[in-house]
Amino acid sequence: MREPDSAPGMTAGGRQLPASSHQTGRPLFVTIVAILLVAVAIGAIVGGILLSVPAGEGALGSLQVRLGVRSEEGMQYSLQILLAAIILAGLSALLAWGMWTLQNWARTAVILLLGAIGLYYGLTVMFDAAGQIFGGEQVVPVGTILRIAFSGLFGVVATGLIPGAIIYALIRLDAHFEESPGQRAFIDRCIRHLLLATALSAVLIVFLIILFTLAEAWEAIEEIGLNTMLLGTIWRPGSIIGAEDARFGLVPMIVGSILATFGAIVLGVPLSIGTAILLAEIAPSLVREIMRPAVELLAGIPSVVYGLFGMVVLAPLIRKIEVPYNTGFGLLNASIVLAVMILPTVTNIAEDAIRAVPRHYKEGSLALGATHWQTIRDVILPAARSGIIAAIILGIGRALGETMAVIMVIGNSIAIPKPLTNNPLTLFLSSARTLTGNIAVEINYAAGAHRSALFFTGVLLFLMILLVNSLARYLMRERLSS
Amino acid sequence: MESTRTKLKVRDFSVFYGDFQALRDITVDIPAHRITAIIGPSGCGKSTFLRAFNRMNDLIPNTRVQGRVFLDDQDLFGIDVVELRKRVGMVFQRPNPFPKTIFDNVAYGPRAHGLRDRARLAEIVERSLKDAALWDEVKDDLDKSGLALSGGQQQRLCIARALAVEPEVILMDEPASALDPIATLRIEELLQTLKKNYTIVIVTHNMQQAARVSDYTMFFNMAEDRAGYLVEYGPTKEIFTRPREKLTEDYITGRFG
Amino acid sequence: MLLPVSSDAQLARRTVQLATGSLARRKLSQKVAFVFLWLAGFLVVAALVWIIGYVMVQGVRVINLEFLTTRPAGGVSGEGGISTTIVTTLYLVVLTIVIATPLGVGAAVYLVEYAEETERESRLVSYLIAIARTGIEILAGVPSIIFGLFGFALFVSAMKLKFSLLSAGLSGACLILPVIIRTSEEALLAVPRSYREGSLALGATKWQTTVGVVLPAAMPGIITGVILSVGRIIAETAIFWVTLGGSYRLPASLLSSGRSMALHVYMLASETRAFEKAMGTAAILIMTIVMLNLIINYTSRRFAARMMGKSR
Repeated sequence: MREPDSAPGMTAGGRQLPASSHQTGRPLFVTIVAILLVAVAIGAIVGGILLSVPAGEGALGSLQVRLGVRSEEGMQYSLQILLAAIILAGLSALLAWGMWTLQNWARTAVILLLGAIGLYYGLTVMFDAAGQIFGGEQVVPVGTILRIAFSGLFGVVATGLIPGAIIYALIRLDAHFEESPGQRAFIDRCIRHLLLATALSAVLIVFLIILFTLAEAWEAIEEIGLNTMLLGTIWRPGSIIGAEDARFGLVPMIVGSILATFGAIVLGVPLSIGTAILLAEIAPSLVREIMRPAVELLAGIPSVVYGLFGMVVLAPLIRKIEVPYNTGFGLLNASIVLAVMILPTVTNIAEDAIRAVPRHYKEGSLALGATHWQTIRDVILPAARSGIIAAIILGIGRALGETMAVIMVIGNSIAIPKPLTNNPLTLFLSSARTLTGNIAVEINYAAGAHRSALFFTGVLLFLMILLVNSLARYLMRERLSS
Repeated sequence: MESTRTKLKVRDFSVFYGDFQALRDITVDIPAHRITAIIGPSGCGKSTFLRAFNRMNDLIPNTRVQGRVFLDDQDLFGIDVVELRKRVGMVFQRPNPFPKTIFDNVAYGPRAHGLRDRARLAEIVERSLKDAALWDEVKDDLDKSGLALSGGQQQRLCIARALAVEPEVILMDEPASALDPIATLRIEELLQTLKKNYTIVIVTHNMQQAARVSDYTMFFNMAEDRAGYLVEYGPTKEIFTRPREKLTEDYITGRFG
Repeated sequence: MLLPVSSDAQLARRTVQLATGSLARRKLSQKVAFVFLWLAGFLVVAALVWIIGYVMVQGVRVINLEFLTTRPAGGVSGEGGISTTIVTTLYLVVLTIVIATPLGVGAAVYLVEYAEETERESRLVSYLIAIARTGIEILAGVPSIIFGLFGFALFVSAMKLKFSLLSAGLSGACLILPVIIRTSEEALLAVPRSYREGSLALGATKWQTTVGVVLPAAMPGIITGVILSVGRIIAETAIFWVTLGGSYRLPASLLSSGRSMALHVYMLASETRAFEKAMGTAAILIMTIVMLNLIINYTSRRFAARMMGKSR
């Protein structure tokens, strides 16, 4: 409806989209759904009554016994059953009324409810089928697999068909349902608050982590004491040898973590920075196309695969070094494995830092006759310094936090690592245990104060890494602002 | 000249971004079913003024307004803003079709307002595309992405999209400045057809375009404190042949701006 | 000598310093330096090739239909296949994604679309938002063993869910939440303002704009984040070691224990001598990760193309 050509006195407006752009009239389908909902309500009430009132010896009575609502002493759970029945009936009646009066919220609620029910049954069928196909000890013949898969599929479709059809019909009919602007505004506000809640969920989780790990660690702090744990050099948990002589000194683990991380940094950082410089400044694009995905791939490989490699390949290699008590498992092995694992992190961030150096620094230097390498060494790297340091610090954090790969290759002895011979370098051939390893290796059978001490290790680790990461973030932000 | 109704009344209207005054005390009547052009040098607040009519300035933080604006005797700032934007539509300087099909682009507005009947939507899409002079070019390709059209076609798509909501007023912020001359010409022709049914307010940098296209012209200028103000307003013919203010004459003859 | 360069004058001074000394000498030291740099790059790629190559070669030998469709026999023998671990891993992935994605995307939507205007309205809200952002950053840096401990303390013990899919899934969701929030935020920020303006100018509400225009445009970016998280969950071990248990049986419900593939590799390697089966499982893991990486590359390129396509 356009506005007619100007005629004095005529008011504007004439909304072509009527405030209620919905079609009038209640479709038959909606009436049926409403009636069904009313039936559900009535059924709930009747069922509730039938299940809470003793019914004598007939079929109903034995049903009551079988369902467990009736025993020698009389009717069990009567109150809960009646309550549930009333709530169910009330909700059904409410939905029925909403459908009858063509309210949008009722339609949405019915769709969601049916969706949930269909999903639940679909999942149950899926779990069942999977159990039959995959759970057995022998190979299930292909024929059987197909049969089970088909019957499973059929089951899913069957249980999903009815709710699905209803949902589909309700969606097609949505033109008939209306929603007042007041309702829309209300929903808008609800959504806004809901979204704020999701944004706060991350904070909630951090808070819960701190809360729960601290709570579990508290027993250790009280009974064993911070001093003993942080300064004690012997770790001999009571669960193993009896509570009398239990010692919970964490120093061996702290030393182990520091040494392993140190080794990882010494081996990994030069490689990472070198690769970063290569990627940012030197490598032609063909080489870059290969190297960068390679580094990214390194990041995605599961840590257990690195551990496995360390166990099966590195350990025998290291054992070749002729030193007594050298098992091939120890700090060297862990350092190598960790170095490879931190490569992607450090390379990435260092490369970003190098790329972020303004072009005119580089161009100015080259224009004055410096070689490319001189430019890199004396102009670009210094300018990227804080970013590179941040990269290294993040690498430290990553190495400190790694668990599974480390415990597979480091030997896990609970003594403070010592050099195996007079040569101090053989320190790295010694076996050790890290803080993370300590947790992983003992948590599954620890109890009481022992378990609490492990949680304390977790708290310690959390704080250390929090510190490290905050430092890195501070440095990176400083670089951005300068 | 036939008597015309006033569609938009502006009284002592000012806009502030924080402490900075972007517009000062604008007072003007904008007639219905006519094309009103707003011209003036860069930065004198033409776009700010235009965007006041559908309250897009509200999206910018720290914006404040003073004075009153009326849409058919209703206070613009008293109506619900979502309802307002159904009645006052906008076409932007750079075409901004959504990454959806042509059909979904045009149907977006009506759908957002609650219309879901496919038959009616198809009607509206066809009508809007026809009114925007785009139907013949795309009628067999309604499922093509809106982004696959040329610049001129994209802008006509945006016009169709705005028309689909059936507004009373259409605001255009330099609608042809990003287009080539031929596409520009087609848009200008389109405006003449559209004004029969809509009130159009168009900001343009191009004086010749304003002279060609509009019935009324507003000339804005920037004061020393960089606030924009209305220098002169009147029928386009008079503004361009017998301007009352010297400033207007200087601008039109190209002595500044 | 390694002081940060902070002005053009300093730069000029510095470069004049370096530019002295014979050209030949400087070119030689550049050659030497570059050799070392290329060596570094080569070593990195070589490490990757060696590790993946070795595991794949050793592992592929073990893979056959029986390996894939029978379950592990448990105990120290290392007999049996990995069927239940494959299914458990699948369950875990779906569970964590289903829990974390709505939360993560919702948080990102709030932070990008709604935070600005709500911040203006109320100081409390702007504090909350700042706290929320810090929380997300902190969460992103927590190592997985800590998530495991946390899951153990909260889900396994306090909520009495015991070692189960549910405990592991909830813990895993916490782990990937920051990833999803970050990538979704980036994807949403990349959607140009003109889309939002266009939609609002047509009289749509903010929520309609978000759902009708912004989210669909950001979808490839969001999906990239989801796939990244899938890769993360598949590769994770420490967190599930402590919340999932290690049962070799197939979980019959959300509350049953189970064993993921990565966990199985660990248990085979440390509790049995069945290194070949461990290699086999590892090989499958690597193949999955490589495939996921390829998919991520594809979707992020499509995302970039879409964004490029509209900005003219």
